[in-house]
Formats: sequence, structure tokens, C-alpha cells
Amino acid sequence: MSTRLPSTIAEAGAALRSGQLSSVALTKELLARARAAQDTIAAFIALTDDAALAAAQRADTELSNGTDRGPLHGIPLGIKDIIATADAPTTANSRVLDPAWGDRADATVVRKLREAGAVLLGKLGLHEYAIGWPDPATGFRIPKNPWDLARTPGGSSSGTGAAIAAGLILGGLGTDTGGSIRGPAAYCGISGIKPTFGRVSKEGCVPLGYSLDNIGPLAHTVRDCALLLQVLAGFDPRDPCTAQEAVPDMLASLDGSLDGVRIGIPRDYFFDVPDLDAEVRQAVLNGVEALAAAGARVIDVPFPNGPVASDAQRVILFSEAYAYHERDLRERPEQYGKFTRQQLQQGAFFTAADYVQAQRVRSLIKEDADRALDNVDVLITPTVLNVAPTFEGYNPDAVRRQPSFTGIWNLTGLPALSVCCGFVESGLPVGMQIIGRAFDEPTVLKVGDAYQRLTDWHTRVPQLAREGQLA
Amino acid sequence: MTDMDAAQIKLAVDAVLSRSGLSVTPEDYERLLGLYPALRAQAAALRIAQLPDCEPAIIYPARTVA
Repeated sequence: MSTRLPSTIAEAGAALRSGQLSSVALTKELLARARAAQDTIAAFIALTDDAALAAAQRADTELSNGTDRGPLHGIPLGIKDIIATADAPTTANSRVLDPAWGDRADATVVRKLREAGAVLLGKLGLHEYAIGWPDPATGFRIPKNPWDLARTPGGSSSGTGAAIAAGLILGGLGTDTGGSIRGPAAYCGISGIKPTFGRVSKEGCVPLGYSLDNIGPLAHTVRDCALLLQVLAGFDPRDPCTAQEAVPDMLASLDGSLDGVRIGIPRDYFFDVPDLDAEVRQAVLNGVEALAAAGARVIDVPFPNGPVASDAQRVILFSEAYAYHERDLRERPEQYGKFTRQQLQQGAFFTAADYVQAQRVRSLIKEDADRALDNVDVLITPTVLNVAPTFEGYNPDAVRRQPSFTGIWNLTGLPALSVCCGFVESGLPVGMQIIGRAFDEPTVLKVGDAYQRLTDWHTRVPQLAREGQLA
Repeated sequence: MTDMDAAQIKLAVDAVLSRSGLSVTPEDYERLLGLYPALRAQAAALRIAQLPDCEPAIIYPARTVA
């Protein structure tokens, strides 16, 4: 297709308000694209055309009557199908989830998006129960990476990452327990933020790791992530994990200035591990250099316990996930996808003492993180070790003990954003991760936004989407 | 990795499966036998020298929050 649509929420909002475009027209076009791409990108589990068009019509009517609900009014978004929505069943990409669970009211975050006037196009694909690796035998579509259909868009928010990169939606929700927002953001060349634990309600979301889970936004730009997070954030009496922290203005600091900003680089583990791809490493260091050239001060900081932090995150994850799935793993294991089942089984092999030890390591790592952030405003690391791997030959067990740059921030609860910082020679995108202090999303977003004013990596579009070859 | 031999690993895996009530496919079983030493090594790695002063990061409100 050759229709040139807005590529960001901010751009679309301006077009809707100027009368250049209606929400109905935008929604119709994106629904058509999404449907045409179901056999290639395969991002959606369910498209909710009627509900989306009704919401778009309401948005157009309200905007023309002078009722403006804010930056998300009339904007088409997608929801990872592990978060409950009233207008479509929720599957968690699994044959195991009781359909009755999904037959319920909107999750808090979905309700907030609707109240902000967003148009929800449908439910996006994911790795089953937000863990594991896709298994074709389950019958669910497997989202593909728009940069290379033979490669994963990352997980577990695979459909969200793929749909945004392919231009099927302007933004969406993912969840992140060990990197499931930031991994897809990195592999798909887009932006995604895992907020501080407790910043966004998890009510209405199927849990994976109770103390590690987060819901957060993905979009092309950091600014769009900030617009989404502004709506999503806030205490929710229905989620005891949410914090009674005032929600700051997430956009106020997005002024492009890096004066006085101090960036910490934890070279131990995050830059010096042998598993880190050399091109990825260089792209991230180039990103840091660009920020330094624009006025940020770069300081090496210590982070001595990286490997044990990753171990602790995984022991906690598998223990908590196993607790949730224990009964279904006993009673109907064959209904899980193979890789999901195999991942979840691991939790049975950790003892109560292992879990407590992991939680004690958690306290230690939290101190390490606080110490690393003592005299800097943010930390920067690569998001992941490499670029998107191929589906062919991928072995989840082989990567089990590989370093993880993302799970540590779930362990510590700190906010972490991934932005595209370049492309390797094969044309695949690289992610750079920006981590901040607890509840200081504004500074994390400020640095990410400033980076996107200095560079144009985030404006690049996969060839398939550029040339209208998504069908 | 632990120093367990194949017979000990099999005993350990069988004990966990029995206690947990999990039934596994032959493929899953072979995988778990191969994975068990790595899982125990991962748990063992958590017992580091700095831990004696660390409280577990499990906080709950003793008073109900209204």
C-alpha cells in the first residue's frame, strides 16, 4: 500500500486535530494492513474491527465537538494478549488458560487507555504465558520480525514489537518480567520501557513472576512511550503491588538538553562479557559517545555482581512461575507448548531455600544498583547480547546461562528503556538500554528522547513496510 | 556443575517429579536429567560470601493499608 500514514502517536494526534485525518480513516487503514499482514508478520491473535471502529467514530465525534481527552484520543493501539480486554477473549497465547478467566472486564491499564480515548485494534501475539519459545503445535500464529521474517521479533511481547515495527499500530502494551518489552524493542528497532515496579497496575494481567512482572508501553519513539506511560501510571487499589507514588509529568523533561546529565557505564559484565556481539557493543558505545558529544558526562561505575544477579532473577522467575502453573502442569501438561512446559518445569527443581537465597541476593544487587546510580543520573548498557536470532535452530536451553542485561532491572525494580542505537552490517537493529533510579522515569525518558533528537535510527522502517509488501 | 553421577542425578530428578506430581514426556525427562546439574549449579551460585548480612527482599505491610 502507498498511503502515507503518521508513524508516531504525536504525529497522528496532530493530524487528527488539524482535520488532515480522521480516527476512523486511520483505524480502517491500520486494520486493513494488520489483516493483510496476518500471514507474514502474524502479529495479532484477534482483531476487533467493530469495537475499534466504534471507538474511532466516538473519538472523531468528540474531537469535532471540542472534547479532547488528550494525546491518545483516537490513536490506534494494540494490547498484548495476556492483558484482559472486555471486547475480546484473553488467551495468553495458550490452550491452557481457562477461557472464563479472559471473559471479564478490562484490566486497569486497558480501562485507562479507553478513558483516554485510545482505539484498541486487537490482541497481540506473545510467547505462551510470556515465557518459553513459540511452538507451532499449539496452533497460535507466531509473530515474525519485520526486518527479517526468518527471525524472531523477540519475546515475549513479540506481537507488540512486530506490529509497531511493521506500521500496523502506533503503539502498544507489553509485559516485562525479564526483558519482554525491551527485547522486542531492541530486536525490532523501536522503543519500549519497563517502568519501575509498582508504577503501573498489573491488575487484569496473567502473572508470570509476581515480584518481577511489569506492564509497559512500546512505540516508535521515546516521546510516544512517555505519552502512553503518562496514562498508564498510577496507584491502583486493585493491585497491591502499585506504589502510592505521585505520577510526575513524563514529558516535562523531554527538552533535548543533556546539560548536567551524568551517565554511568557499568563495564564489568555489561560490556566486557565474551557473549556480547562486537557490533552490538560498538553500536551502544557509539550511542554513549553521541550523548557525551551533546553534553552528557560519562562515568565508569562499578557493578560487581552481574552473574549472580542473573541467576537470582531466574531462580525467582521460575519459582514464582511454577507456583502459578503447578496445578496445570500436573493435570494437563500436554496442552502447553513444548518449550513453555519445559521452561516452567524447571521451577519444581528449586527449593524454598533456593528462593530465599535468591531474594537475599536481590537485596545485595539492589544495593549494587543504588551504589552504581549514586553519582549518576542513569546507567547505559546494551539491551541484549546480540541482534534478533533466527527461528531455525534456536535452542532455549543453550542460552539459559548466558548473561542477561535486562532481568537485573526486574530484580531491582528499576525503570529501564530500550531505544534503537544503530544497525549491524546485516541490517538488523541494535538496542541500547537506559536505566534510572526508582520512579525516575522522567530522567530515563529525557535521555532517550535527547538521543532520538541527535540520531535517526528510530525513524528507519523495515523494507517490507516501506514497500507495502506486508501481505 | 555438581559432582553427581548419572545414577544420583536420576534419583534426584525422580524424587522431585514424584514429590511434585509432575508427569513428563520421555523427551522432557531426558532434558531434565541433562539440565539438573546446571539447575543445581545455578542455585549453588546464589550462596555467595556477601550474603550473611542480607535480608531477603520480601516486604509486606504488617498493618493493613486502607
